[in-house]
Amino acid sequence: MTRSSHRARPTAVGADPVAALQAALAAEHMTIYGYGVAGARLRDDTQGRARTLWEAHRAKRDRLAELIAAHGAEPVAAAAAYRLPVRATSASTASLLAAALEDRLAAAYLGLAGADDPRLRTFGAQSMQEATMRAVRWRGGPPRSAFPGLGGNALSPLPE
Amino acid sequence: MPRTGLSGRSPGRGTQLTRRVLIGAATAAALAGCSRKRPEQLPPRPDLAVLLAAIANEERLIALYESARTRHPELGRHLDPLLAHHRAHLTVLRRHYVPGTNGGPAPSGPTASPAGGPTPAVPRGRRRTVTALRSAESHAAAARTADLTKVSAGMAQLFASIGACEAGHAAWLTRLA
Repeated sequence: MTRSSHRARPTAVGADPVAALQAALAAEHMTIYGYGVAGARLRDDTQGRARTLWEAHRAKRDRLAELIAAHGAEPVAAAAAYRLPVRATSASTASLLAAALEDRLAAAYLGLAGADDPRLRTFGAQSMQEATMRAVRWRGGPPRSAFPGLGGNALSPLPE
Repeated sequence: MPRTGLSGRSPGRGTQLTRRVLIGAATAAALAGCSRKRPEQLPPRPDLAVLLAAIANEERLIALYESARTRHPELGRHLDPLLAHHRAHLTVLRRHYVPGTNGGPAPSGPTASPAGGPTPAVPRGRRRTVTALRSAESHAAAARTADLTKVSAGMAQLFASIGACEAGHAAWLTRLA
């Protein structure tokens, strides 16, 4: 899998919900892998938090896989390894890695937030909120962007 | 790219909003002229009503932050980045209301504070002020989520992003309190 395949590739509006679910699942796979890497560098209570969140992401992964299967599709598999956005060489860089993973995860759920199914829409939006809140806690600072998960180009309606 | 998220498959969505406003205004004018039916009885379209509620909510949050900064200047360096986010939300939401124009039936002008609105009261204590801001952020995030299912897909994604930012603010204010 290439690195780009884990980025949010959302967001054809009203697109096939399976594609949006798969994008979220692929990002959860990467996040689970990344928490494993970060956890090895964290200590004490932050390591405990990473462990708890690792389990939460595994539960989310399983939920997404169920939803994909319920649509009659094959859930995307995890890669053996991922190129991570931050090199975790210390406790502080491990926290930054976890924050960066959560930022990417928020973007990966954007497609679901635009799904036609209202339940998927709410699920996507809640997942974006959770990811942004976790990123804030890991980074120890406010959200980095006014529009988590969205790029600047998305913010202007196109002229006709 | 995220551009497609909001606009790619429906390039006219933003302008549709404007058209709705214009059609609504034209219809209202026609009704006012031709019948006794009052224009305000026209039900607004869901997208528009929800967008206006989101704009009003951002204006209230901005006013609340400005009051908090005035009462507790020492909080300024913590609150300013959050206030800047809300101003960005308001700018983008207004852009979806009347894209690409300076005039028209925008809900209010380019100033941040709601025109003529009362200054929201903030508690005297610093800690209680931060708690009040956190509560307002949490409510705003929940409101954006509740409104998701009433709007178009592109607008839902914008609301989801703004709600995520506000949830992140609430998490950050929890640490500040």
